[in-house]
Amino acid sequence: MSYYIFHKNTRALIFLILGFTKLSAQLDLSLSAMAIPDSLITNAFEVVREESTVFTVKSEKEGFIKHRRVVTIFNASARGHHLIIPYNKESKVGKIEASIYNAQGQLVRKVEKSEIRDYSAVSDFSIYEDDREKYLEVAYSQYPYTVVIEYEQTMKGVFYCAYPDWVIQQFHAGLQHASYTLSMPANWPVFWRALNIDIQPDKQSEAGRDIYTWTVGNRIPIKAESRAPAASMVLPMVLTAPDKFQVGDYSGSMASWQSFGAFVHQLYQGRDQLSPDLKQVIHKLVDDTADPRIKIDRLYRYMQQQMRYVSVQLGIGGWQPFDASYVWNNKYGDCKALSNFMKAMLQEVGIKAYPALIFGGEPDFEIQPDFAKPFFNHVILHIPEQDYWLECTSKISPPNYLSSETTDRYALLVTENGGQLVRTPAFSAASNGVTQHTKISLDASGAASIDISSLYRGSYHEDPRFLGTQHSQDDFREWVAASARIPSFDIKEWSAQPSADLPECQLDLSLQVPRFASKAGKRLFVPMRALQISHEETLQASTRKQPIVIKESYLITDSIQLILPEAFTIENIPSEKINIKTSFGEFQLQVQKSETQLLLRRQLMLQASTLRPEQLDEYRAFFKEVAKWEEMKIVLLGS
Amino acid sequence: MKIIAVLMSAMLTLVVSHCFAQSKEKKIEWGEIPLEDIKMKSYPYDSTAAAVILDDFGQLFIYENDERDFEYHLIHHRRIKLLSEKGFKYADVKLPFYKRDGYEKIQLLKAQTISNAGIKTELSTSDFFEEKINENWSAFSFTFPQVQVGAILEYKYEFISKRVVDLRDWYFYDELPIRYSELRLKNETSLVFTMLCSGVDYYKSKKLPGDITQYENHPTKLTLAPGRYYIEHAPALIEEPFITTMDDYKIRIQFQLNEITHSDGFKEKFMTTWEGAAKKLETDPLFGDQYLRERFSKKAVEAIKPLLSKDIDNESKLQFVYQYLNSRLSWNGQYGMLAGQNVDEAWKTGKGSKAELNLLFLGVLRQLGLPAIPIVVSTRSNGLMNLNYPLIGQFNYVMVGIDNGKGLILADLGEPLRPLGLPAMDALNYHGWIADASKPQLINILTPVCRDFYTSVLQVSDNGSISGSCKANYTSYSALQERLNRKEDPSEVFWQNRFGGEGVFLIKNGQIEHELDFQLPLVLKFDFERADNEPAATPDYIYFQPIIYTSYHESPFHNKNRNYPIDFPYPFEEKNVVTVKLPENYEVENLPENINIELPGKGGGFQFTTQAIGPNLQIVGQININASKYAPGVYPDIKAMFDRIAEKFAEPIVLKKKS
Repeated sequence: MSYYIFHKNTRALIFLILGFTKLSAQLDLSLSAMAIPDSLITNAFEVVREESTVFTVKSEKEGFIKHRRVVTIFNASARGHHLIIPYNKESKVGKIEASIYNAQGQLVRKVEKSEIRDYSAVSDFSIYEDDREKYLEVAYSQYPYTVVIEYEQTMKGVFYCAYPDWVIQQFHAGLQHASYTLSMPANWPVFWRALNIDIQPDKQSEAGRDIYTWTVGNRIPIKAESRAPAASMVLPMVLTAPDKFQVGDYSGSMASWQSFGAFVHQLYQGRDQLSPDLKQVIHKLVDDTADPRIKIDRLYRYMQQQMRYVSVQLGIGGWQPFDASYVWNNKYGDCKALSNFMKAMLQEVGIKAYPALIFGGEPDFEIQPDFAKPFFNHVILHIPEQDYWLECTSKISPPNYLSSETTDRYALLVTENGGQLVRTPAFSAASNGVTQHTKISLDASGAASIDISSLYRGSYHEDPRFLGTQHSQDDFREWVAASARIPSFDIKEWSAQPSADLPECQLDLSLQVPRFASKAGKRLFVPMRALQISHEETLQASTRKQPIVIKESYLITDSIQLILPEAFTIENIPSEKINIKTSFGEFQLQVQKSETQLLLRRQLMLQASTLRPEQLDEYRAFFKEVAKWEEMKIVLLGS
Repeated sequence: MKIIAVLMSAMLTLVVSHCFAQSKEKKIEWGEIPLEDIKMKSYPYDSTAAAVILDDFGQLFIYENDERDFEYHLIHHRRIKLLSEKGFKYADVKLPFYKRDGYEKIQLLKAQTISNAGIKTELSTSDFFEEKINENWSAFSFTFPQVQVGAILEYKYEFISKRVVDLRDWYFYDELPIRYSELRLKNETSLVFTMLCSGVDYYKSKKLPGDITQYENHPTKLTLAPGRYYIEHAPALIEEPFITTMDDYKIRIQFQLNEITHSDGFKEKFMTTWEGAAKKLETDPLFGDQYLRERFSKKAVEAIKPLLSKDIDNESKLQFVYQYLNSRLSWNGQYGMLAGQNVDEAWKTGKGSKAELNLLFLGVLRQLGLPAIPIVVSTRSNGLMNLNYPLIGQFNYVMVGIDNGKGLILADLGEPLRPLGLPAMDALNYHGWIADASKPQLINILTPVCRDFYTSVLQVSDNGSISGSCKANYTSYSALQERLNRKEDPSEVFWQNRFGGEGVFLIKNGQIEHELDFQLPLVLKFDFERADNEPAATPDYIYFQPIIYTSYHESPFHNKNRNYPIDFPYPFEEKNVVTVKLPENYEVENLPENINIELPGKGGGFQFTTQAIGPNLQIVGQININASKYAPGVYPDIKAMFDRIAEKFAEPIVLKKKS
């Protein structure tokens, strides 16, 4: 490769350059930022000049990764000069080397070993994990500059069994040339899948090995857009997976979701033994009923009361649960251990449940239904007979409730027949949102006493439920202050009553607001809103490339009864009836008035959907209208 | 023996020499829990507490070990009562220690849960994990089993350290209320320590016989007796905005090493006079050497010298060196008064801590013939400085001062957009100390008022829509903030994002003045247009709010009361001058009333006036905060003022169609 020639000669070059700075750009094109085509720089935080990743599969237990990249960094938002390598005791990092070149391509310096940081990769919710990471930031104060980074790592255990994926381009990165090579022992099958790019590997067989190489060149940067689908639906990438792998004493295959699930099932084997005292407790709890739903509810609640979520992960422990007796003795466990414990309790009363691997939160990688690659970080429990889902790490959720973190996505059930991919339920508009009644009694100074009664449902009910179970006046005040744009207020009374069985919470609130309406002479300007309930952010106008995703359906019904101060009349109502309808949502507003009061009813309904990029204007126009009517003011005139 | 690090702020000192000999000493034994603690349902002094620290005991013992090195150990024994599920997080415990070169270790760790029925579950050794946090630090972490509301968590360990110059602070404050906490000290060595107690500013004190001092702020009572320090009923600490650091208000005890008697009988003083401290610093290899020895700044000087013209004056030279070094060096995010590496390393790698950057800067200036001196401070996040004692260890930051004959110019590298004369905001902590052996001196650090000045012309049209132009002028830290915003978002979208108010206004023709002249105010000029979003206009009336650009549409203060002083980093001012051009067929129906609010003691104020000037209206709104620190007692006035501002800025002007 031509690069190495330049690299070796750089020291000699620097000598020359001192005298002849003007020549330097010509001398060292491959590393000079000036050699990048303009088309790759537009919208780029960084441009990958040259990148190669070689993964050599040595056995079913071990692989070796060699990575080298040359990246030109244009600004502080770039990530290409950061290197983060997760590792653990068995997957050790070999060499790490890096150098910095200035805009002309002159070597500034080599990075020293002491600059590489070594951190514990313990996530903040964990009490202990043995995962660690090496971290290096190759920084230089003058943009643009170019970094050359190389590292090697042995991959074993859980690090090995999912082969490295090749994300060809990150957001805001131009690309000149890159390749990914997979070197397999001859005739070993390998699975691969290209996403968002049409690409085929070149296959060579030599010296008892099959070598697959994917190569790409000259790609313009892809902008990150908000409300876009997961990165794996947008960025070009190649996923790879092994046919056979071994982790500790367990062997498995990624040939299908079925086979991967079978591997995980082995890890759960024999971990569901219950002690006699717990069996007694279980039977005492449920033996008086024959209804399986009641049994599930009671056992789930028992687990919620008794157990606490704590994460302790060692070695294969990232995938294997602590056994049920450990959970029983300590009264804590992580998501796997608690799901496994719950499964064991249900088993004792003849109810079949399966652990379900899932990604909790916003995934970068979406699960491919026909390509097994375990992008999971969480475990929940599924009961097929009743079509029940249980989140075992929550102490307050009602039974059969999944939050936005886990709804509407694929989960892998771990069954005795292997893995089975199923989708978790999505919220319907009717099961998600708020119904709110507000009564505002205004006086002539603009002060108001406000009574709000709201029923929160689905994902909207989670905050109020939490407030309702932890009930602290300060927490509640903070929550109200965050959702009400009222300058200062007193809470007279409040109560949050979560439903025991349904994902709902009733919230009642009385406020005294000294300066609710703004007074201008004999007029009062009354905001027709006390608590903000919809939080839809509008998107910026742009030349949109990616679809717009509305993640959840919801329905918000908001009615306000405004009692006028004595001797005031309504001077102006901006509009008395509005109805806007689109393919993804609907907004209605209606106003009725009398001598002494005004009734306003607003309704916003959104449908989970994916809009084409061209629909951006329609999307923006809709939410701009909604915002306008949520912010509306009524003008009252005093005598 | 070398100083690794010394200590921080102080309010009061006592020389610790005697051993403790007090009557009625409170004691707790492992696992012997009083029945009333097991049965406790809530903590009477804080009914909303999720948990309470029942007892917190520390025994600090300083001795010489078998190798005749000084060492100390601290036996820490704590009991926490869980009162609600919200307190369960206190069942996860992490005990960090400085492991490098065996400086510190933790041993004899034990922990147990005592249920509300009195049943004990003890952790086994395999339940304690030692975790390496980074190259220097490790931690023991563990979680308690069988956790439920009403349970008591008890743990105890021995912490051993060779860092006798840096004894661990003992905190009498926590996120949780503390029922009782006590530290005892036993010193079997010739080392002499000074005990410093801080955080008791708002407490009543009294002296008792037997060299005992008592501080009281009902129901909290702190007693400082020789070798024995204890508090009863310490409240939980609540975070509040606009404060330096909560550490300033936490009651804690620190020990400052004062004197060592060496084996030859020589007494080495650690705490002397300010002059002595300055001399010591000047010969410190990590401080004085770094700027006084030419070799550390030689390379940088060689790079700069050829770029300076022969007849350059001192002022331009300083300016040039500041900008040049800022362009070549980036700050690695770390503070420090002492260099962690030689400053020529920072030059080589292009990055370094605050100490490394500024000590290099100092060296370069001195070699170029400029009279530069080091000024050390304790940052806002590090806490208030104690000006009564020459405690070098309280400082965590160094800047450069240059006397230009007219006054002292402060220079602080690390952010290229920040001009000469403006230190990083965290370094503004009222005082600094000139660490120059020839003239050590405490100085006040005064910062210029930070001004935001908006001048707008606003045209109201017949249909109630609004358009206009605005000139925003920012100085000091506001200018820095706007330049940083602009750097984050250098595209055209910046204007819309910054001034568009979530799409309410359409922003056009954005222009910047002095974008790169950091010494000058930053001026942003633009046109705005209200994009059909005011749903209140009717054919007869037009309503509009004249103050569009302000940072105070909402008050920054939400809490009703305040326990700690309000501490703004610098004084500031915002002024709005709006000229309104009315539509021809309309006349003013209602104008907001003028108001004038003054804070007590000339602390600041708010004025709002409207007047007709020919066919136009002129509205002026002005906010001043003249001081940077206000006592908690002024809080209601400040809060009321910002509430009034938000209210006034929301008040519309009403226009009526001429008949």
